[in-house]
Amino acid sequence: MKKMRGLIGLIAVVLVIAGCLSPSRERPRENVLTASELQTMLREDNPPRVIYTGSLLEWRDVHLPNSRCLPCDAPGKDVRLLAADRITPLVLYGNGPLSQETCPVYAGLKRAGKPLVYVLSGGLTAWRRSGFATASEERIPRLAVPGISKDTLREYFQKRKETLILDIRSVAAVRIRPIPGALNIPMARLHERYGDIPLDRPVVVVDDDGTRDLLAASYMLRKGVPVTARLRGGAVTLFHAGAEGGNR
Amino acid sequence: MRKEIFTRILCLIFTAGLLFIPPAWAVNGQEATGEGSLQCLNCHRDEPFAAAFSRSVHGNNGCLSCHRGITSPEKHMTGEEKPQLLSCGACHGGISGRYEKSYHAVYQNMTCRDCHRNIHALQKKDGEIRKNAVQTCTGCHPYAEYGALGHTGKFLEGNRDAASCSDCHGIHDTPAYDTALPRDRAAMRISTTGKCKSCHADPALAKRNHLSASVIERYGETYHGKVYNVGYPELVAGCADCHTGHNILPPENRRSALAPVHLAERCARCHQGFHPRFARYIGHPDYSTPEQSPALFITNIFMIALLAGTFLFFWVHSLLWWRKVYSLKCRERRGYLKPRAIIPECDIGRQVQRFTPVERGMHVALILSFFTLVMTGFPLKYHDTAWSKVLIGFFGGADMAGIFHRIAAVVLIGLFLYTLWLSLRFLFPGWKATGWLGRLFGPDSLCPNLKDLQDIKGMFLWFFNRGEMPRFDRWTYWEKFDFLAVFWGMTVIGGSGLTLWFPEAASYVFPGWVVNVAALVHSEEAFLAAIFIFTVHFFNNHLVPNKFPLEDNIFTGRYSIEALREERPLEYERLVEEGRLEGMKRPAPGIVTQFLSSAFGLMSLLLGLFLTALIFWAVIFY
Repeated sequence: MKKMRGLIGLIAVVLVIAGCLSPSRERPRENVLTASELQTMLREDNPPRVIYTGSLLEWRDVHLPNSRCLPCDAPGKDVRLLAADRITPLVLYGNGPLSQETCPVYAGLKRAGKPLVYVLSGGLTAWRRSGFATASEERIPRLAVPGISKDTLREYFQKRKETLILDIRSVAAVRIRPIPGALNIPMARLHERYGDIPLDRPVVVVDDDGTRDLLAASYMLRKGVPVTARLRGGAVTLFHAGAEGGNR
Repeated sequence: MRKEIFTRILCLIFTAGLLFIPPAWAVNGQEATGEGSLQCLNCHRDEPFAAAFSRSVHGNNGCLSCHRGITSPEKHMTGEEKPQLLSCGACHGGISGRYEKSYHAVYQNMTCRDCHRNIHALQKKDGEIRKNAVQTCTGCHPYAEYGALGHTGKFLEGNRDAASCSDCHGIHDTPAYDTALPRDRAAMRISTTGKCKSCHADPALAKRNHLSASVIERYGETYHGKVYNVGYPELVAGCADCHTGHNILPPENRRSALAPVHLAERCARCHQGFHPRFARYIGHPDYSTPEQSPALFITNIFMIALLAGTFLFFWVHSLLWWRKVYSLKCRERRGYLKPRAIIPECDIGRQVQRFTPVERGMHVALILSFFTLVMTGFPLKYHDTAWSKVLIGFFGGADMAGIFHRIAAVVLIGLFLYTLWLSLRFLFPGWKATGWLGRLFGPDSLCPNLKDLQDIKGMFLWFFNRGEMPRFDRWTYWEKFDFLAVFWGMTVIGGSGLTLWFPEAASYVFPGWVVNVAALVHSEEAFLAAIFIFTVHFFNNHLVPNKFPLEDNIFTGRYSIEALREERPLEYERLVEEGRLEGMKRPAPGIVTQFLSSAFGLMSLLLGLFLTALIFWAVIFY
């Protein structure tokens, strides 16, 4: 009997160790849709209203067909109007994964008690990777703006001390990790505030992760802003030693 | 006369020129002859593109072949109709289809014109695509950071073996990976490593460029390479993880990603909490020459000598033993030898206790853990074989197999430590040292003594019919070797295994290259252990003709008095003399015990032989 208890105990220990060592499987969030699921929903009788939470510039450049733009950075009163419709499902999407915690649009809708709010997993890139169609109002032609590493940026500053870093991250992101000396104009406000950027200094554009800076730089160059470079990999490379951005 | 001929030739050239040079209105190609296209030029004739277009690669196309959506010039002129968005895919469908899924389309929403900027003057330059790709790519990806530090710099210097941007990234199909997804990370690593391999595994290219032709093969000798090759690239470092994608310079160059000052930084991308000397790990170990690492070279020579010596001795021993016993069996069958001794009637159905239940349980645990270690470890050692992928898949992948391997290792280490404890208790009963030397070299000890040397000599004389078979006591010399081999093996395999399990922690004790030594020792010692057990141990205890197919006393714990008297006459006589034999007699095992022992023993035997066949298959054919 004593041996039996010992054996059972040993098996239990092995099972516990095996359980601890097995890779944890994250449960998918209930209100997250894949691109295919959204495509199916859009074909149904009561298609959802699709909202892009990035900037207006990006939305005009490319977006999901029949979607609207409601920037996370500048939600305004539209959130209340959207929340008033209790029947139509709502699908939010960004460029990539959308942070439900930091997007005021999502938080506002939830606060207003809006049911049936979904998020498109992987955002616009996941949609495009799935091969589904997109639409464009006015695509901004991309110009050749060099993407430089943080080391080159450092050298850049040494040579031209008057260089301006234009931080196009959201106000919330800048509040958490500000870049000293940078001018912050969120992407969502760039089309309104590019006039604030001094024209007598070379400008280096910095975004979150290096996925939006080319669009912003191309847009500003067309507006006459002297953009000379963009930080490859975005602000994340400044704050994390190991991060180098997408194009190593 | 000569002047007249010259004038005529000039006239001919001029006429021919007129035939080949299209008039300005013909910029619209076939549609230029149409009324609608002619009307385009009525307004757009002075546009900057018009002059170059006729000589461009699209010069034979009309305006409306690209600028679609205009049905009436009048509506267009009044602003009622605007041209649709350009769709190069209408003609270049294949390229467009691939491009739509590429990085630049998915992540940057770039279209054809963003790279092919001067579309109306676009010229096709045969043989210059790779060079043009560099010019185009470096518009956004600065040459100083991407090209000058590696392949592209050499390419532009004229080395056509060096890679241009397009050789690694493609032109229109630059993959769009989402690095947040493990699947994509694996695909990215497969893609980049595959690109590197496609050139660096080419011996002719390596020779032309004074590179090592075995660099890919030597990567396969590391844990990174083994796990990568067995099909789990997401778990380990590929080429670009250490070498980076673009900073490809010799390590002597301070700007190189592999320069000593940057090495720890490279390692830190995957490993944390290590001492800086961890970076002295050798990513492409070369065991064959002492230049790279004398320690690796010497270890390799030692392991080869150890394996060769052990197998040479024991395989010859087994072969001679088999021949001798087989001939004796044949002679016995033909009546040339007297039959075995008859057991006294009182001892029929009675056996002698040889192993305690704890010892039997330990052996079962040893078998299970050993098989788990072999089945989860050897697929990495022979990662190129087809069976390695099947076997690793059976355990649920390389990560799960790694967990099983470590659990089995912990069990084995536990057994080793418990055996050590039992040995100490045997030597120092009641923790009294009196007589420990006598016990150490006594008949009940598993420590070799002088008699074992005499027994080895006697055994070989017996093999060659020059003497009687030695009279053994409780433990034969090959049983003692089996026992001590586990001790040696556990120290070497266990120690090297722990170093491989915790390489970062090990770096606080050893430099990084010790991990390479540990990997070599672990692998070769595992081969020695597995093949020794599956051939020599199996033969000595199960496959020798007088025991075939299975000697099950390690599972039942008992064996016959007759077997004791024949196989270990000195022990039998000692037990009789000391009056201990009666106390050791037990009834024969019950049917359930017998069945389970035979079934487990035979299954283990067959599994071991099957694994031996797989290992030899790998050794011979890969």
